[in-house]
Amino acid sequence: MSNRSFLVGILVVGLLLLGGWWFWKSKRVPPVEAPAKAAPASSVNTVAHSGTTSQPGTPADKSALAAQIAALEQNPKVKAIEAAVAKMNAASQYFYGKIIDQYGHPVAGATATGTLMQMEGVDTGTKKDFYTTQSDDNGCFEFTNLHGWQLGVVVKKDGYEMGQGAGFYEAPNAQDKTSSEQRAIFHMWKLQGAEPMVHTKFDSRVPYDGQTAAFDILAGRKASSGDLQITLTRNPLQVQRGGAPFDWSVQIQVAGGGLVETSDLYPDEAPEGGYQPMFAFSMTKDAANWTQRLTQTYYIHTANGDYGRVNIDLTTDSERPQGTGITIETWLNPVPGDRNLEYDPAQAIKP
Amino acid sequence: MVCSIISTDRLPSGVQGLKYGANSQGLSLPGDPTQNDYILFVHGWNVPPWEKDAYAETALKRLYWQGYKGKFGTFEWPTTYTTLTNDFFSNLQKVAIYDDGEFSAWQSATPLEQLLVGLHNTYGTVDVLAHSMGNVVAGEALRIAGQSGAGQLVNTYVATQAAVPGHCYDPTLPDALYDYYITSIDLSGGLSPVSLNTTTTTPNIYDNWLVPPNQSVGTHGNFYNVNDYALYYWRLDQALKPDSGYSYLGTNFQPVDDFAYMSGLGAITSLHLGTAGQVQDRYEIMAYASQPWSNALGAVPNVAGFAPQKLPSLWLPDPFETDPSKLYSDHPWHSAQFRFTNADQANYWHALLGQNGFDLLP
Repeated sequence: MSNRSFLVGILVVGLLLLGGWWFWKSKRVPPVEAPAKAAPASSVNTVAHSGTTSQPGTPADKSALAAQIAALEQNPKVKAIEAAVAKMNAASQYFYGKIIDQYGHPVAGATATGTLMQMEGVDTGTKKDFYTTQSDDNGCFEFTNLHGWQLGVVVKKDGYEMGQGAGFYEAPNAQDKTSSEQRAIFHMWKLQGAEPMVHTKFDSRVPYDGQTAAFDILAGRKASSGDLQITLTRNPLQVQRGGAPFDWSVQIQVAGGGLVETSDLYPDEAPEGGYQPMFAFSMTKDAANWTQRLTQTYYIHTANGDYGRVNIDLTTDSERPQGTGITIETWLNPVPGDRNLEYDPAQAIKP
Repeated sequence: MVCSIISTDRLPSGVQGLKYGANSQGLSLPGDPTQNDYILFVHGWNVPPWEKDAYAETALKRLYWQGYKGKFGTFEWPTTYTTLTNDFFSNLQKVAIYDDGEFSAWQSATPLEQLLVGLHNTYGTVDVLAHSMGNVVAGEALRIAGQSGAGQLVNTYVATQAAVPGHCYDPTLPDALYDYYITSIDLSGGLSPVSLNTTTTTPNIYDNWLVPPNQSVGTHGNFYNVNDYALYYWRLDQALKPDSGYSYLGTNFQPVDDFAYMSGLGAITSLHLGTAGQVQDRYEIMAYASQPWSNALGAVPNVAGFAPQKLPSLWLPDPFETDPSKLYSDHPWHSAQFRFTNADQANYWHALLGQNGFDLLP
C-alpha cells in the first residue's frame, strides 16, 4: 500500500469515528427537571419553585449541548480543578508501619493491605488499587514507590483484634509522616478466647429532677429494682435543648457492686479491683469544655460477682417531661469471678 | 391528616400515585407518641428526579423501622445533575455545574419557607432533615422565616453532611485557607507550579448570614464528618470562585458590594448584595462569585448553636483505613445513610431519632 492510500484510509476511519461519536452524543437525552414538590397531600405540587435558574444540561438542541461541552472544555475553573486533581493523584505515597500486641510484642505474619486511591470526580468517588504484604518478625511492613491521592492501610491477623482510629493507630510524628526509622504503630489485641456473654443494648429515659432511674443489666430494660442506678440533676430544671449551657451532675451506681471508668482500647478483660460503689460526674455551665452529653465506658462488678462492662450515652438536655435520653449497652460474663470480656456475637446469650 | 403520598410525578400517563384519603392516618400509627410529628426531608445536589424520590423513600422506611410512626414528606428542588445514562460532562466537569446547582438551591429557599409555614400551621410539630447542599435550601428558608418573624416553625433542624459555609452560623470558626491543593495549579491545565490562590480573594460575606434576628428553629443538630469526600471537593470548588465572568472589583475587601459579571460581549453588570430583607443579587454572588472563608458546616465538629453528632461514631469500621486523619474519606460515606444497607446504617437513623437528633425516641 502506498503512503497516499494509507493516509486516505486513516482519514476515512477518522471521519467514521467522528461521525459515530456525534451520532452517539446526539442520542443522549438531556435531563429534564420536575418542578419542586412537597409530599403532603394538602400541599403537593402547590409549592412552585420560584427560582429563575435555567437547567444546565438541558439545552434545547444538539448544537446547544455541543456548545456547552465546548465551553466546559475551555472553562478555566474546570481546567484548574482537573489540574489540581491530576496533581493530587500524582502524589508520592509510601507507608512504614509496625504492629504490636497488648504486651508490646511484635506481631509477625499479619496481613497489611494498602488501598491506593485515585480521585475520579466531584461526585463519583475513587479508583482503588489494592496492595498486600506481611509483617516481618519485628512486626514491620511497608509500602513504597506508589503514586495516588491517598494510601489507606489496614492490618489483620487471625486470633487478633484490630480497632480503628485514635489509639489503635499511633502516628509517628505530628506530620503523620512515616519512614523506616519512624513507623506508625498499630495496636492489636491478642485474643484469649471468647466466652458466652449476655449482651444488651437499649434506649430509655432518665428523669432530670434528681429521681433515680434503675435498669436491670441482665434483662436490658428499665426496672424499679434494677442494679444499674442513674441519678441526674440539672439547674435550672427546665432547659432549652441545644440552647444555653447549664449545670448538671450525674451519679451512676451498681447496687451491691461497683464500677470503674475505663478508656482501654480493648476493654476485653475486667480489672480485678479498683471498683467504686458510685461514679459521680459534674459539669458546670461555665466549663470551657461544656457539653450536654456523657459518653463513657465502665467496667462493672455486680453483687453476684459477675464482671462486665457498660457503655453509657446520656444526653442531658431533653425538654421532654418523661426525662432525658440515654442509650445503655452492656456485656456481662455470667460466670462469677470470670473477668474475660472478649465478646463473640455467635456465642451471645439472649437476656 | 395525611402521612404520606407518592407523587404522580414521573409516573406513566394514566397511572395514579398512591394517596391516602383526607381522613386516613396513612402510615402514621394512631396512639403512637410520634403520630403527630412531621419530618420533612430536603435532598442535596446532583440527584436526578428518580433519586430524589428514592432518597426520600429510603429515609421514610428506615425511620419507620427505627420506631418512627409519624408523618413524613420531602421537598424537591431543581438541582443540577448528571446520570450514568446522561453523563455528557466528565466527572471533573461536573463541578462546573455545581455552582449552578448552588444558585438554584439558594433560590429554592423561598418556596421551602412557604411550605414550612403551611406544614407548621397544619401539623404543628415539624422537624427538618437536610442533606448536603439541601442545607443551603433549608438554612436559607429558615433564615427567611426568622427574618420575617414567622415564629418557631421547626422543632429540630438536623443538618447532615452539610455543604454550606460554617461561617454562616459561627464566625468564630477558623478560616480554612486554600492551601496545599491549589497552591501550584497551572491554569493551562499542566502541572507546572504556578500559584493560583493561596488565600481568599473575595470578601467574607457569609458571617452569621443564616442566623436571623428571630429564630425559626428550636434546636439545631450537625451530623458531621471531618474527612467527608464531597465536602473536600466543596472546598476546592469554593476556593476557585469567582467563576468565569464574575469578579470582585473592590480593594481591601471593602466595600463588599463590588461584585460584577461580565458577559462574553464585554458588557459589565454590577451585582448587589442587598439586605437581609431584600437580597437582590446575593444568591448569584454566593453561588458564583464569593469565596466562603471557612470549611463546610458538615466538615467541622464544633459550630455554635449546633448539637454535634460525629458521623463516624455511628458507622461500621472503614474497610480501607485505620489512620484517624483519613478515616471515612471515600466518596460513598457522603451519602452512606442512603446508599448503604439499612442494617449497616441503623445507627445513623437511630441517632437521628435520638436526643442528638429529633428527640423522638420513647
